[in-house]
Amino acid sequence: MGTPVGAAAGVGARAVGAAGLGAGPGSVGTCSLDAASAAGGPVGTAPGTPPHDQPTTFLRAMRSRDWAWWRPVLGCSCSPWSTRPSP
Amino acid sequence: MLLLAVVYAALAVMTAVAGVLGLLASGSDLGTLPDMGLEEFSDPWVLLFLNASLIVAIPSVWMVWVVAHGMPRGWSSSVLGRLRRRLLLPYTLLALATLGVGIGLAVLLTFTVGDEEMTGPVSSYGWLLVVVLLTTPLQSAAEEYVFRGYLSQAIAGWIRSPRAGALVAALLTAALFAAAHGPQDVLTFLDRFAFGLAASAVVWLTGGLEAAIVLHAVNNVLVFVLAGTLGDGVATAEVPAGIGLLFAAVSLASMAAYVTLVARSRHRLLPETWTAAVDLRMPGPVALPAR
Repeated sequence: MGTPVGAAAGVGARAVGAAGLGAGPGSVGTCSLDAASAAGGPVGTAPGTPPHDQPTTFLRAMRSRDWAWWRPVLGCSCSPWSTRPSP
Repeated sequence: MLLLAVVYAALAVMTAVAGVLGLLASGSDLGTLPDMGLEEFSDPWVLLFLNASLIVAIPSVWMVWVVAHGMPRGWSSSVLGRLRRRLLLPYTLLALATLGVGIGLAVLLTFTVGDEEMTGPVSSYGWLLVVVLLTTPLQSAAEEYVFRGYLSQAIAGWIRSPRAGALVAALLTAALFAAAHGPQDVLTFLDRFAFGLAASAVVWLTGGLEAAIVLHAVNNVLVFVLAGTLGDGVATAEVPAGIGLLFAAVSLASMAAYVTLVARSRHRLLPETWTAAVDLRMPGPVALPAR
């Protein structure tokens, strides 16, 4: 886990690793972070940590969590938010 | 949300059963129990029963946050991942200066312009004060954790635009909040709907539930204490008939004043409105510039 970045400073480190490490269109049931983990790259954050890779508001705190109800449904353990490529 | 409903329902039923068993164990005759109708808010037993069944929503929300979302329970409180206690006292003073004055004025109108009469302190006044002061703030906090905490985040999280998400969450949770108070006339529903909007506004302004909890707690404590002191003429369940519009106008003005003061106090109290960011990059070799 990296260093927490203060919100007051307005500095938010983006999750990296999604770009270039994402699973291809044909990779059903796997996620970019799974692939990244297998390749020794970035992995998802452990449950219980606040994975707000950018400062976010109170109402979006739940959204920015690397949790999604469809993950267990799809057999996928990664987050759609933290795998979003940086613009 | 389904898990929250199931967990809360289970805990509420357990609380109700425990309450009845406790009364039976204390030797009370079930035939002498007070009427559990929700209109009997000035009865300490009814209020304790109702408050206890609502307070269990707090551990329900926390449990769902931890189990279903894998997040520490504190994310249901504020952007710091905990309840910011330093804000409670200042917001309480603001609420007393606005909502307190509004409630006092509304009660005065009820007894002067309206046709209600003071019936004096209710029986068991002392017990009522104990129950109100000890459990009503927690009951208020529980409702805020459900409506402005869990539900607001769950609804806003589905919407891409943060502003649109906040607006939709505020409207939906205010409607649910008002509807959750049971059958009521239109004016009472609108009064509670406005209360929900005011609570959502201060949550949005301050980045946490503290100001909303204080708003709710000050409102409920004052209303129940006044109802216990002055009698059943003080409206606890609905906008009083006869002076409805005037009562609602005073109520709306006091809520708007609270939201305004909370907004203006931000430069002094500096409530955090953004979460801290975490560097999600794995530690690894760092490419240093060649010398």
